[in-house]
Amino acid sequence: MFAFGKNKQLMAMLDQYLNVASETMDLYSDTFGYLLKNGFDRRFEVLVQKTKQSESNADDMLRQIKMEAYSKSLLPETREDILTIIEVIDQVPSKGRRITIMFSAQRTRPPDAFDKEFIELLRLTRESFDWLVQATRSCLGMSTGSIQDLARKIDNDESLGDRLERDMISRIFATDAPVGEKLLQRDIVEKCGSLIDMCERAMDRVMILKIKRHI
Amino acid sequence: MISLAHYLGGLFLGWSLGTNDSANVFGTAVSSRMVGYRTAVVLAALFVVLGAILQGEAGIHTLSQDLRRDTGAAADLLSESDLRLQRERARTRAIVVSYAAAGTVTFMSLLKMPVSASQAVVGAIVGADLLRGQVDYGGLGKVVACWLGTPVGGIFFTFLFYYAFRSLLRRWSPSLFTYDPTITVLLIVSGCYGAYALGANNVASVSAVFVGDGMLTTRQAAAYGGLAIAFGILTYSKPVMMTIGTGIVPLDSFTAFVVVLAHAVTVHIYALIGVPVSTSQAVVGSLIGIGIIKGAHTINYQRLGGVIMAWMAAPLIAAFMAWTALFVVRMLRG
Repeated sequence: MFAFGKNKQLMAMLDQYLNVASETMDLYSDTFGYLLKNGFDRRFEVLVQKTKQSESNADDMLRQIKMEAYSKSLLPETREDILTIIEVIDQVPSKGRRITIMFSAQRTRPPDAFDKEFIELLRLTRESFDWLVQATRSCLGMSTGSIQDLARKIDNDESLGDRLERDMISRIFATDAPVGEKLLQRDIVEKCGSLIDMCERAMDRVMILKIKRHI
Repeated sequence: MISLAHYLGGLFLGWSLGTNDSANVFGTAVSSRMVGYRTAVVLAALFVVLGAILQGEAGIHTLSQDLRRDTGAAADLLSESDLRLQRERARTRAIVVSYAAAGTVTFMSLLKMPVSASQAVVGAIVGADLLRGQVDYGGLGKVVACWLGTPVGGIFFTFLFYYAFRSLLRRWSPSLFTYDPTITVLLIVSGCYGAYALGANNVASVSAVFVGDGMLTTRQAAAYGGLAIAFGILTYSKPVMMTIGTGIVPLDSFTAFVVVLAHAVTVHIYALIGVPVSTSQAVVGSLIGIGIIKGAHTINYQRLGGVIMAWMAAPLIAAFMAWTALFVVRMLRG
């Protein structure tokens, strides 16, 4: 009975971590959206700091979960699988934080002509991350829901994101902007687009755990 | 001097049985890291002793009476000196059988091969009897029947438990935070049950001879044999455990539990109907059952072939060792 209680505590920590990771992604979206609408100002810097702080909180929780996981009554294989999934999920808000810091440090704004596309890319990223969190909760038994359906939805978003990314890069290189500027803009597009790819990779890990545990 | 050699022979046989057969009860759980090695050996040792003391006496009683009948059949017709000579010969023979069987099982443990200690004992007895020209071929028939019957029992119960528990788990559908501790508890409980059955079944092979000889009471022999097996478990049981756990079929937590439970029930049922069988053969049968369920490609046929060769070789090696040792003793005594 004691083992079941200890595992409940770990389950609560994982749930809390997923909430904080989702909040970080919300802040990333808000910060990016604000930049597209208002450019660099004091409010933008505040949002960057908030994103950074939230991601740092998520990192601290991840470290705590790693330590706690070894003292709980989980089978070694399960423990490794859970930690791998959480680490792969954590890469998404980490990358989001790095993107906001990049904008803040380099003072490089995404190209104006693509505001609509960037907003759509942000929406797809946010949506994919939400589905990834839902699938993880379902896989760990914290909620119900079809993991296969969620994986299919993320796959669709990833295809849409890829198409958007390719289209934006083609249009960037069709302009008369200097080559250096084109490369910088392509880098921004690729970095923003990579978040959905990361959600899909994390989803693959969730699916593998689900399949492995199918009796 | 002979008494000391006799006790040491029993200790050696019990120790070798512990190093080899105990692997079957926790091998799958330890090698897949579901139960720690230290926890497993302590629990196995404890339950082997409990099984030997609480349910091993019946087997010791039966076997010791058989031994008494063998040595005392013509006692009324013999003079005191001839009777003493016959008893000394029987004791020497028992010592040689113990050492030959123990040496064989230890050799197989060094090779990381699971074998049957009781079949090594039968092989050694046949080897000793060959020299006297009084072989009981019924014993040999029993060995061959067990080679076939025990793994088949293991396969049958593996199928039964696999599909029964799978159906239950699919209906229950627990979260992994509930499933993991549940399956760990089930693995430990079934491992303890397996260790208990091992102690109850196999202690007679180790120490019945002392009761037959009048050296120990039945209870003392049960405790002595149980402790000797426990000593083997605590000191050198890891190599064979790894062969059982990972060498034949890869296992996850659920299949590991099914294997442990199926082998324990197989051994217990055979014991209840009065046939002492090998836990090694039961567990390998269970592993083959999992291999059949998961797909024949999952079975490591090379390792399985090696295990089957070891089963066949163990009684033959023990017979050869016992024959040779008794021959040397006879030569020395002129």
